[in-house]
Amino acid sequence: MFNFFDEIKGKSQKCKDKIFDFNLVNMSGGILYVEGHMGLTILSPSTIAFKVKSGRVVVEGQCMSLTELTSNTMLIEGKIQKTEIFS
Amino acid sequence: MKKGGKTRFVVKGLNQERIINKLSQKVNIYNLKRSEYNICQFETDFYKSKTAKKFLQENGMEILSFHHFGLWAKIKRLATSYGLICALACSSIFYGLQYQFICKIEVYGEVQVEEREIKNFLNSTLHSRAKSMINTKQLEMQVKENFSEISSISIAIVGQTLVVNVNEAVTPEEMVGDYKPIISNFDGIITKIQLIQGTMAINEGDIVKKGDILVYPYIIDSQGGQIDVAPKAEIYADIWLQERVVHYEYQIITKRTGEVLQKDVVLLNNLPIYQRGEENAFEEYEVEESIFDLSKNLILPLKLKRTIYHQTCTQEIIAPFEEKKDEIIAFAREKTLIFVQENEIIKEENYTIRQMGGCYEVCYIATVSRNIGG
Repeated sequence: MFNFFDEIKGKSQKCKDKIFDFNLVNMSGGILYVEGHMGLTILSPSTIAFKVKSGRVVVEGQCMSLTELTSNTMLIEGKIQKTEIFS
Repeated sequence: MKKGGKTRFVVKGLNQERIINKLSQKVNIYNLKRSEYNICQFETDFYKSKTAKKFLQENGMEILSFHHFGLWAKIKRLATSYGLICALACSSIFYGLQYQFICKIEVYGEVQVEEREIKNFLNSTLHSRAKSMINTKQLEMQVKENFSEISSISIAIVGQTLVVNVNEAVTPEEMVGDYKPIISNFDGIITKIQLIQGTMAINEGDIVKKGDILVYPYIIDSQGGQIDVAPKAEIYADIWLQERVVHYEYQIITKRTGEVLQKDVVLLNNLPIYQRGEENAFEEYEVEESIFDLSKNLILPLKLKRTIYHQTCTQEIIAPFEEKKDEIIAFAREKTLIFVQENEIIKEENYTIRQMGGCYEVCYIATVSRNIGG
């Protein structure tokens, strides 16, 4: 995990018990950066789903693709309309 | 990331997400797209492409295509182009071998002998074209012996060229034939002779005219034989420089007054189509006419004819000789002294006046001493 996210989590007061072990950064609905994923489950231009430690995350949109995929991080590009976290 | 180059895979198979998850543990995956439900496309780093390929094959994925791109991929393609490498090696070996031989001969320097002759001689003399077999010193000696017109020569091997620099032999004047005699350019009396080379044709005190031979271009040896030599001598003579001036007591002179009239006519195929200018009203005049082309092509042959009238007047001049005598003599003297050279002493000056009908001729003569030899 990067220090940037640790720092933000450290400042949080309300959600301290609910901090997940993954990070999602959505930039203007066009780029979604994910840290801490545990593998892809669904891959299609309209739906990308992946597992996280405490559940799953489903990203829905249009013309989506995985620009980068490593063991720990992921970068999704496309028109991101919805991000759901299922725990 | 893009610097190293990438490999693009197009794979087909089921359960792709599981395979890709496992693959992402070993290599980084970029630009992952799914075109159909069982076909997807992604890129990996070039140096990890073998690992990715092996993994996909082991896990039952069908690789439809894979393509390398980027700088490293190009370098690798070149390095494994065995044909290209062989060709480079062969051409290097061939170049190295042929460099040991001379390809051409270049001759520099201005000589009477033709360049081609020297080249032909060298080609016939050279036993071998191999640089190691050529002795430049020996070649220089051979060329010099064979061509007497060459005074000095240097031969050097520069690259694959045999460079020959030659200098012409300068023949002394005495060895070159076809001499001409010394001829007098003036009329005069010989005062002093100092012969250096040749045979004298005149003596001191002789009167010579322009064109007379002064020194012959030969000498007679003790056996009576004639030897050609370049004639040289210092011959001093009193020469006469003369100029004439003619004076007329009664003259009629036509002079331009300065008044000018210009008339222009534009011609098309020699037919006048336009004209400009006043009509000539001069009583006495001179005419200058010229024609210019107005168009540069022959489609419209336009020409401009310009006529210029210069007004003239006629004058009668009556000048008795006795009134103008001194002036005329001075003028004649001036004309004569133009031909006197710097530092030359004028020995004598005189003039003659001749009357012929209505005109007088003044002939001014200056006598100077000059070296007329060669």
